[in-house]
Amino acid sequence: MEVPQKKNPLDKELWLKEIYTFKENVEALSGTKVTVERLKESIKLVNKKRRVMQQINEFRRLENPPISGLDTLLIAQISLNQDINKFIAGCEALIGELQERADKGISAYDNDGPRIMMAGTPSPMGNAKVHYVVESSGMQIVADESCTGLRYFRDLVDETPEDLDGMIAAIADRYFKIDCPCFSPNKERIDNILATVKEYSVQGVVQNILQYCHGFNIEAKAIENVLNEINMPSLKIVTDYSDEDIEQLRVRTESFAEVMAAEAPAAV
Amino acid sequence: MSQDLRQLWSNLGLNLELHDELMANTSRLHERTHLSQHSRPARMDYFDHALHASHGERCAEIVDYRKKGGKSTGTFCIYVPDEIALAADVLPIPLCGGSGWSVDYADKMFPRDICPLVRSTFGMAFSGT
Repeated sequence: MEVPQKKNPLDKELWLKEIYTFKENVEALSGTKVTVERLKESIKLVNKKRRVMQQINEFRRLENPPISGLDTLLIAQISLNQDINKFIAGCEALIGELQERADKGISAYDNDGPRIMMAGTPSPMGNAKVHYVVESSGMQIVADESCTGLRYFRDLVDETPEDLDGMIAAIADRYFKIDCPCFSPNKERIDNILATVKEYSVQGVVQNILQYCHGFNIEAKAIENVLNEINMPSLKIVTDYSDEDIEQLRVRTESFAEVMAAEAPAAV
Repeated sequence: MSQDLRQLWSNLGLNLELHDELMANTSRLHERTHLSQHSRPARMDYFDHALHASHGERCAEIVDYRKKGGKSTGTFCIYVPDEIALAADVLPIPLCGGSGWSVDYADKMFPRDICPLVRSTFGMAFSGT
């Protein structure tokens, strides 16, 4: 699909056309037409998946959350692989347990923070390296704005349209909200980051960037500047999938944790 | 069950020896990271199981679905509208790779200085895993 690089009216038009082309392609593949009924159902189902992921995420607003960043990452990774109905059921069962843990004050951590937001590129299934290093350095990842985090399930498709074109436009709108730096300008990402650090009482941000992802790497400076303006400590990590730099990363994350503990940062 | 899976993998043309290595690597990492936590919700077991099932039972589910005439489409990135694919009875299958094990196998076609995610996925394709 041709994803535009700006979000002007011309780009929105292109994106909508790409969605229609995608529709035609999948219809040709399966021989099944996308009808109003079928699309209504699938919008509800995918929104339901997003909602259960949102609900799990909500527990991370709590002090000493009942679920870790490593585990919420695993959930996001699995969400891309499993049968959607089984995945939703798995999440619903977990939500019940998280409520019990929250009621009893059971933390997923054996430390008290600091509270970190991860920002940057996704960590698909098989890669939890940076999340692991950050959390095993004594920090709590309470938010993650990457594509294996909030970017994936933050926005729902508007369920009000009743006609096919209205539903397709609602879908196009929802996906056009994605705040990936392959769009420029990408102001909504800054707005989202600022909102999230407030909502989750974040004390520090780790920018987790996959090597050679120039979009995120270049935008990292703008993000760092914005975070500096609100006195939010941040650390930028650029790495690949290999194990070779784990100990060097740990030195940096442990120092970052110490700096935050020493500065006793004010809540945003 | 595991013999069935090995047969399934063999039928798919996988390199069984390398696939075993990939699986062992995934398990090792999972033990070191997620399983080393001290206070996990019990219900995370579904997700732990799903990680291992991603190359096993889930694979078998999809093969079964395809055998019955089901269609699927591989996807990269979160822009692909799942709603439309599902409404057309097409299963979207995200292909974004996260395994470091397979990255070097991508040298067959790709330079080293590109996105590791892409190299991971294509490395799995080229190594038959």
